[in-house]
Amino acid sequence: MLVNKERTFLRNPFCRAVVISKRPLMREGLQIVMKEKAAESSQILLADYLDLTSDILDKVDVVMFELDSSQQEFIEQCDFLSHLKKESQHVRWIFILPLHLRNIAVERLLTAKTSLLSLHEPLSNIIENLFNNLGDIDIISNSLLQEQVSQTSVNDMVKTSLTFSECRVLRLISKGWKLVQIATVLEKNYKTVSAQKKSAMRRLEIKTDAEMYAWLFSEHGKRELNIPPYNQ
Amino acid sequence: MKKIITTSNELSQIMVIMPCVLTAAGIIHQLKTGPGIKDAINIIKDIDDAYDEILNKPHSMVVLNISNSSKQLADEIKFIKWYRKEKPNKTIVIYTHNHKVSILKYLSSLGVRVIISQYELPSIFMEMLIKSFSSSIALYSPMIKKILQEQMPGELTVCEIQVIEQLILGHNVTQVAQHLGRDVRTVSSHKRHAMEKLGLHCDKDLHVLGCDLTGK
Repeated sequence: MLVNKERTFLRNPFCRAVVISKRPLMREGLQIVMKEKAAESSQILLADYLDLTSDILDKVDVVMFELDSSQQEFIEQCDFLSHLKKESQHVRWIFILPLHLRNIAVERLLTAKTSLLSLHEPLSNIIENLFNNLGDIDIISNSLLQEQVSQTSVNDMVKTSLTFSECRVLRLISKGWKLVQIATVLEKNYKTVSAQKKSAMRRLEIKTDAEMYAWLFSEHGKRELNIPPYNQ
Repeated sequence: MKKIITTSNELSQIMVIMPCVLTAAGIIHQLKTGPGIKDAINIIKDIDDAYDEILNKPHSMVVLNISNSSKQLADEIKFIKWYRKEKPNKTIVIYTHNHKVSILKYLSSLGVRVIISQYELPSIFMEMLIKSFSSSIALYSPMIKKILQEQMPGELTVCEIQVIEQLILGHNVTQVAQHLGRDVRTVSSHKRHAMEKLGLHCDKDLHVLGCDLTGK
């Protein structure tokens, strides 16, 4: 189970780490795991990433950061982080990511001395990344890469060509408006709006409302309709 | 005031379904060193393995992780439904990483009694876990309570769950009425009541929840 008896080689058993996670038991868990592997290691536990200062960074080798936010918050975090990264170049950064931040993290965070790990990372991999100073290389863990973004629907293959008014109706629907309300706002007859919705669904080869909403909130749908990333 | 809690069966375990190894290590440490609980702990990393473990081994309680990713979430919801049917008398403790209001409301309307946020301090986690052994009322950790804003949703009735599930699958009210052999108006009022209990305001909210629950 969790207690791995075999002694793996640790290049740096004196590893000093900062752990940033909103989840107390996760922070504690990491501390226990590290102590078990190497009693000489030390940890600083933080709940909020804003507590991370360059003073702290001077005294550590590794920062382990569990990202756990919406995409918008993440973009703010990125600015803060890239500033810190520039200042303290000796530190190795390990990010633990949820799936929905994977692509944006690869784009924004992946620089030298950075590892991106999944929430479901096996223990051996975490240890490897923490203790064995892996040099300047950047790493995306296999388990992160293998996680599937929710099934890509058949519709993704179809090149959609919605008309302007169909897009407009769908965009309003995705905001939670009823057809009657849309009709009032657009000063059109209810039947017109309904027909536009229907023909949009036909073009997308969608049969039910549920499928339509699933499409509206899928990556593909949002791109098609130019809806900003849907958070919360 | 230290009270030692054990269940009647000495072999019984606490099943912890938790894919994140670090959090699992934290839970083990808390349960072993904290006061009160002396049951053995069984950590299950993959929820697909949980079904066999639960049928084959005696256990006192299940602690289930609820994740943010919708594909995982769909599996976890499936598990809760299965477990409630299989072991209606056993306690299932939700240890949630997901803090969406609609998801939390849906969970509690499925008849889950104990919901603890993963942002909660270890001491609160332990305290609630011990409480859940002895009490039979609904327990929500402070953060969850705050999110649900004290207005605890009522449990959904069997009919309401049936209707909501079919709606989420993409049938419309008329079709559901035909499936169930009910009047459209009956189904529609089931839908209305269920949405009220779940705090959903419009069809969009319903289908957003649907997407989350089915992993689309």
